Amino acid sequence: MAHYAMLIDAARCTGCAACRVACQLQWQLPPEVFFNRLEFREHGQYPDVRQEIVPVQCMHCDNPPCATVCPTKATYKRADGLVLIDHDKCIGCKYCVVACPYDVRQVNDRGIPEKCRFCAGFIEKGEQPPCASTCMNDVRVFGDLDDPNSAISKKMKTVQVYQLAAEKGTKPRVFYVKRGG
Amino acid sequence: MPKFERWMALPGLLVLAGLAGAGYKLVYGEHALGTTAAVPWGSLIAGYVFFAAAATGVGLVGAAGHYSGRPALAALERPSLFLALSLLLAGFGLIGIELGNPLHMIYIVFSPNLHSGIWWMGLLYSIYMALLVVECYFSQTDPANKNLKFVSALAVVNKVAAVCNLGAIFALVATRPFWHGFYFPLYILLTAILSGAAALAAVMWLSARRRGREADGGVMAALGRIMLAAAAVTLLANAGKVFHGLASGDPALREATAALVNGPLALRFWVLEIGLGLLVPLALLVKPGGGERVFRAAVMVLIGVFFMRLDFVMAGQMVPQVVVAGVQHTLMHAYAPTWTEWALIGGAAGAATLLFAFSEARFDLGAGKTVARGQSLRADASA
Repeated sequence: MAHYAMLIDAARCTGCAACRVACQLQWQLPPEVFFNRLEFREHGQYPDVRQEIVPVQCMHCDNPPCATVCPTKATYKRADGLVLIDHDKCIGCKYCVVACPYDVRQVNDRGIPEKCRFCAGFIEKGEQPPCASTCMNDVRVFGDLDDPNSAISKKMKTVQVYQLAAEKGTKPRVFYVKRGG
Repeated sequence: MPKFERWMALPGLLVLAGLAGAGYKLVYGEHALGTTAAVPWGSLIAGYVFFAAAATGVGLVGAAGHYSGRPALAALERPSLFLALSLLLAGFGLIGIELGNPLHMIYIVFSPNLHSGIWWMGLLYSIYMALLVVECYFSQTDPANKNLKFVSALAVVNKVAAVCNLGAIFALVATRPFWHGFYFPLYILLTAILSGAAALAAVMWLSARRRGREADGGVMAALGRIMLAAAAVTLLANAGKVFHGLASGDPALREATAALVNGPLALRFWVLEIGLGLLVPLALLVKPGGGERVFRAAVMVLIGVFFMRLDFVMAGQMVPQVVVAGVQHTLMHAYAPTWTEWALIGGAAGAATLLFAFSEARFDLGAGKTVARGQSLRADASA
């Protein structure tokens, strides 16, 4: 069984937002709906100030609060690690939107929350999610952590990583490369 | 069918406004609401909590009639059943329209998630409604009240569980520090009793006046005492929440509390929730007096508790979550209810009023114990 995850090297991000546009095209989303976003963070004090651009999306947590609170199991976690939404089961209570610590869920016109799907159905064919494949700087590395020869497994061995809001106990499957300073 | 009376025009108009709001929501979906991805729960959730908690409070105060042995409270037994049912149906209507896909609720049965507070809410409040229907039936068919007493005992356990679980839906959300913790399940139980007693007092007084009579002084005095005690404890609970929040080491909790006492929600909090909803009613109720004084206090309490629910729902979501350490795009998330939301809440209030009026006309609520107008209520109250 695959064990999908994503590694993001935020220091490489130029902020071009091609990942967001590629995702919107992949899923035919209207302009105001997006499954990934860029957070701009400043480091240091004048005159030594730097900017880091942090891509944020659904973390496909191993302990997903959105799935815990869903009354009908419309949000569920697959054995390969993907957290997905069954639109037919969703009652539209938005409890998952309230419970998500990453603010990554958006409600569509049918009253159903939407978020990054890790391109389920697409990745099983061996393809990369468009947010990863379209990036000119290889900011995102997506793959199977159970496969020691996958690009993500190899890179994870060479870098130190951190997770966003790890203190919430959600155990995210999106990892970030830790840089000095 | 009850005969049309002039006063029914107001709740009737509210119902029409609610129907217009419901139609608009059906056509425009989420765009009809002021909610956003950052503030996903708005006034309709607050409105649902208000009606569901008030229905539970009415039921708990009414159940006190069974067990307290006080004749004043026993007179509330039947009206409380029909009022609770009316309020609960209004609340269900409101949440049904708020939900994006209410028809998918069938999956609550076929794909249940026992970890979800909303699943338990669906179960417990469905049981509450079923028990209320059975209680209403027995109240009309079983004069000895043998069956009613048995069902009522079950219902009391269900009511406490349902309203505490309603609080737990908020309290278990670890991502919202203002809601998180043991406080809200107990607080909502307390304020459910407050709003339940207030709803009963308002209805008993209006119902008597409608028939050109004065409400029974003993009943109004008993309800006044319940409201006085509940309002006093609520005031203390609010003080505790505010002091704890402002002194908290958690910035999100501190900022949410500050939003309430000294920020965007401050006017509503101090004027409507604390002033109108608690302090003025306390001042009115602390003096002995007639039913009209209790009625006035009850109306103020109901308005105050509605805004209490709204403020609570808002304060929990206004402070942006820190996803990336050191990044905060906005100081506070904004939210304002749309006309659709106000129309739906007004419609629910109007529908609850008309449903109760219909019950009064159609069934024997035993609310005939009134006093001819002009007779001393004080003497009656002290009896």
